[in-house]
Amino acid sequence: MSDTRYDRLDSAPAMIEARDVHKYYGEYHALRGIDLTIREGEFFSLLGPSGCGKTTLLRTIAGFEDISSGAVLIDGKHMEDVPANKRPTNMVFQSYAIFPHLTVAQNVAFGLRRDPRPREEKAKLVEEALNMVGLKGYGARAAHALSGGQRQRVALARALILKPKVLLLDEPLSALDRKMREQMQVELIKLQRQVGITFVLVTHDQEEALVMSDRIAVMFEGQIAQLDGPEALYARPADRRVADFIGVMNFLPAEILGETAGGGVRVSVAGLGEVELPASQISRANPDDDGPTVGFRPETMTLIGTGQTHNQARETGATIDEVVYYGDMTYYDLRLDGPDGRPAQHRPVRISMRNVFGRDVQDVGSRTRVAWSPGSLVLFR
Amino acid sequence: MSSGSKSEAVQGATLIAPPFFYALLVLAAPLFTIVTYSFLTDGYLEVVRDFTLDNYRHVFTDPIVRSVMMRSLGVSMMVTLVTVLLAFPVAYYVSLVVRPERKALWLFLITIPFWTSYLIRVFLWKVILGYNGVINSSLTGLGLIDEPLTFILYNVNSIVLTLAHAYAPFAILPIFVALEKIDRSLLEAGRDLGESRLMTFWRVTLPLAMPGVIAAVLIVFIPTIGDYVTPTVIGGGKIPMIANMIQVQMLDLDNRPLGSALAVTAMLIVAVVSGIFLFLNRRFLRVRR
Repeated sequence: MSDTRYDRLDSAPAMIEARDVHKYYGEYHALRGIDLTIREGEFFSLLGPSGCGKTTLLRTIAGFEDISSGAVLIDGKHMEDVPANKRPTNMVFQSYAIFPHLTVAQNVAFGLRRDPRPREEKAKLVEEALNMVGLKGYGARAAHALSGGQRQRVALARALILKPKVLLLDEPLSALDRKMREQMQVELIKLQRQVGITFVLVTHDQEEALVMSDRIAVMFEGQIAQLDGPEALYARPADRRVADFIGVMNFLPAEILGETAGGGVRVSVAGLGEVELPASQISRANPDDDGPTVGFRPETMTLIGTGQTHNQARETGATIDEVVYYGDMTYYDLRLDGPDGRPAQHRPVRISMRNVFGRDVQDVGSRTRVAWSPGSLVLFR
Repeated sequence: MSSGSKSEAVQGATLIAPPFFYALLVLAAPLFTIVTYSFLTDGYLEVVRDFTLDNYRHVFTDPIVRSVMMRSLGVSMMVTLVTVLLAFPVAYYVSLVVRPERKALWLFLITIPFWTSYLIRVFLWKVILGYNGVINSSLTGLGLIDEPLTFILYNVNSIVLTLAHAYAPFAILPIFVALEKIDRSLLEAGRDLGESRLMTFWRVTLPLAMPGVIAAVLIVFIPTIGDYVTPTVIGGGKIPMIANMIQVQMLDLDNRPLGSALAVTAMLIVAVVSGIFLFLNRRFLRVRR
């Protein structure tokens, strides 16, 4: 289902275009040449650590920040001389920015002042908007008496009632507790599909971005490191920083033995031995890495002899260094055997096993074998 | 249990005793004396302990008292209006335009007038506005006028000007604090929801700053109605306000009961006006988180 949705979005017209956008704060270069296209109806996320420029980029789209050079287009129109109040965007602020001197209904109706429709019709719109976000009957409440989750919903209703072309969300879930956050993630996805508006979400939470987005732009230091769908981002990170930032990835030192036809390489990986990797499995290393590394995700390696069948190509001996039990999952930290059968000298790698019925959790210190396949490795060089 | 609550009560009483006695001594006792005096009869050089309402009868029927009372009210309302209208832009500028690291400096500069005594500041206005004062000599020197202007001193306008200057910091500071407390994302939200800067000010900034404006109004209005120095110096003693009248009764004429009745009446008027003002603004004074 997500594939067809993705294909459909791929042919959708562009809603937001950023062309070589630069932003300086005095000497500080906050945005360093951002090029990106967000398509109509897309749920797009800007993901990155704090200070990477993702919020600045969102605020330039909203019109709260001027750009130093480049261009921002929304729905094909240049936004250079368009102030924030004239842009077809609405924002859900990180603090929600609910007006404390107004009731819930007055907050939601705030942007309708210049709407020429009669009062009763507007009241009905407000009622509908509140129903949509699950706040039926809250209209008369004072805004300052609401909980965090309710404020979030009011902020959503207040923005969506204006039927913007783009809804901008600035870390909207960061102030909520875990349960509430997960619930709101699902609700936001449903809401976005229901209203069909382009959503642009800023978040530092990679899990949130993976769960909610059609596509994600991962940003570091004012630049987009990778722009891809969640699966591609997770399975084929463009460089080691992205791999490190999204999910958990194990890194093993590697030695390049030679190039193969079609841009692939043969490498010798500590603990895994010799493998041949095609060009599609080769990404960029960080500038400050010493030498190439090979990475793999925890779930791509399987403990043998735990009742789970596998069809993976290669096996390696390992010693269990640590066991972390998570209820549904168990994490094993392993030391992979080197070529001489002794543990290879590297930091332990972490693999995850689902605790299906009948599988025993293994003990620390015990010897085991793991199965893996070269197809799940990524070389960073 | 009962002994526990008893000792708690003793502890509580001990805790509130110092502020309680302080309040009693410096706030309640003088007030009580004034109220008591206002119901007693004036004798020659003394207060006779006979209960009477004559003082209040005099206060409420005498046309001179009424006109002075009305003037005092009018002047303090004017002063309040002028002060708050001039203070708001200053507070707004310091809070929303000045860079954060410069705000402390600005507040410091605003308090500079307090470094000299109130009396000296009032006299300086006389120097500026007087017959041979700064304004007149400059204008004469520039050849703009032939003889000194006389309408700029010794009238109600000059009293309003002087008081507005004297109370400006008292109005700026509470408005500044109220503006500082406004979450800046609320102003961005106003813009984001389609309102211009001006409408965002009107619909978001101003309502949220109202508690500060109300505080400023009360802080300026209440003391100016009883101001004594400015009408004496700037008004030249010819346009007395209520405090001057009380002073005349209390000291010059030694009619302490009548002076007390005037004082109590002025106090009640201030209380009533302030009460009405607060009632009209109750919408802005709800508790917010």
